[in-house]
Amino acid sequence: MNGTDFIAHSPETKPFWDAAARGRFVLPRCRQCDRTHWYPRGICPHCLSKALDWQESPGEGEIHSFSVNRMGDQPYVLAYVALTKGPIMLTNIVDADPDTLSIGAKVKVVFKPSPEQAPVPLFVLR
Amino acid sequence: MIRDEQAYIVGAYEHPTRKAPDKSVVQLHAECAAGALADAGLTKDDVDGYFSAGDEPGFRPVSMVDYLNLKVRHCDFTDIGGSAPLQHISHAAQAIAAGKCKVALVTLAGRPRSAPINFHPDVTQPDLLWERPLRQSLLDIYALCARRHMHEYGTTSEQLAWIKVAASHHAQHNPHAMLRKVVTTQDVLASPMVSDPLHRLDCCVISDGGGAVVVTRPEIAKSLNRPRVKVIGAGEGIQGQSAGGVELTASAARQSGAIAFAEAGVNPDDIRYASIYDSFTITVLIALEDLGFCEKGQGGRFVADGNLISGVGRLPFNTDGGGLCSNHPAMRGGITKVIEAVRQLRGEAHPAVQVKDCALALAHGTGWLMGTRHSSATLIMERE
Ligand SMILES: [Zn+2]
Repeated sequence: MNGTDFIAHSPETKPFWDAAARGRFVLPRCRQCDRTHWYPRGICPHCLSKALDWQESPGEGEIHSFSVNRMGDQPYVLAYVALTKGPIMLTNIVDADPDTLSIGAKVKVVFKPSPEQAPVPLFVLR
Repeated sequence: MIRDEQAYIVGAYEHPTRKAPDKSVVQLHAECAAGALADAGLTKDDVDGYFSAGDEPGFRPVSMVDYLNLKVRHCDFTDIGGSAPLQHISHAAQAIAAGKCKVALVTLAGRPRSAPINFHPDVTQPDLLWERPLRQSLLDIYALCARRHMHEYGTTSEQLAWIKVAASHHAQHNPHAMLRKVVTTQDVLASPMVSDPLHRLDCCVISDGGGAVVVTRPEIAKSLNRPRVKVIGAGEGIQGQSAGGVELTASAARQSGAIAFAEAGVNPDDIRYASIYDSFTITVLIALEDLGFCEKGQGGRFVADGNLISGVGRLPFNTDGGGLCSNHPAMRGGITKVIEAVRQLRGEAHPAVQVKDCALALAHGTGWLMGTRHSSATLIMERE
């Protein structure tokens, strides 16, 4: 699976990937209802307005829930992160000992480029 | 309102196989269809409505109708995942009430155990763009629900384990069940941690097989020599991540259950038996709360100490062993929920698990992924 195939089929999200390529984390904000959303899309899922701005976010938040998959050689962490005054988003917590994680722990966004994957926002403890 | 319009389940059949290396998926569908029609005392030429949900190959319902050589004037192919067969029975009842068909056949079958499903992601699916690059399995997503429920309500792994314990108590009496050994909460907690906080024994089995159900009009139901099971309430719902306002401890069962109970004009306290979709133990716990069998957050206390065991607890559930111990055909077991509820209402469950005077039963399905986006469908059925 190639992440770029997905991106090619989602032209509405190009501003997100362009920003991510420069290491910036942007969120769609609706000019009509002034709300952000996740996952990004080309129409506001709160009011269906197409008037969206891509607003830079500090990408800070806290762990809303997490699971630790222990079936492979290395455990990995899937999590929902609640961005500060923002949406709750599905992500991975990386570069952290899973046994030290807890709901409410403060985290910050990081982009980890990979040839097989789109550079989706991941999170590290802060 | 379904109660006034009246539709009856007159045939039900569960395929006994759990491993079908030498059968095709369409063949399993067809064997289930033949079994349910024989159970009802009807023939394939009586069928004028067909319902299926995407687990058939090729042109799906069109290929299946051709394979079975049916002559239908109504068909429905709504695919909302594992809860689809429950929704189909509701849609069949509505179609029958509207005069669109008289005898509706609902089938589900698959062989994921013999031929593991190769998931080819749909690059046009908007949410997968953000999820495929993440490391995740579907059980990681359910584990997110379990962790948050534990955090908000103090639910424990031992309480979740009671759900598997109850299923295993029932499965010991089902000769077809994949896991027939009675387990304890200690056994569940000692099983490997697959996706923390879920253990291996918090998960359902992977099986081949399937099932079918026949729904029909009152006068046809009354002409057949079978106990009559009336569909008196049905609800459905879909819940997603709400654009970033995800709720991990509640499900679309809040909606599907409320609609079904209102239509049926009964309360959770009236229900004598419940089939609850059980892909994981947490799936059951959240559904029980959302259907109103206990307050939100009290699910752990509700299932503890064998409260779901037939003959022991207040709410016997999944008396065939369910997905946790018996089968989960096509990775979506909704139809088996209906079949065991029909057995209970007819008094045809195994004597060791049969609920006395079981006049009112509920069946509930959860489709796709609780935790990201899922469907619910709830049916309430009455023995007439
Ligand atoms: Zn808006």
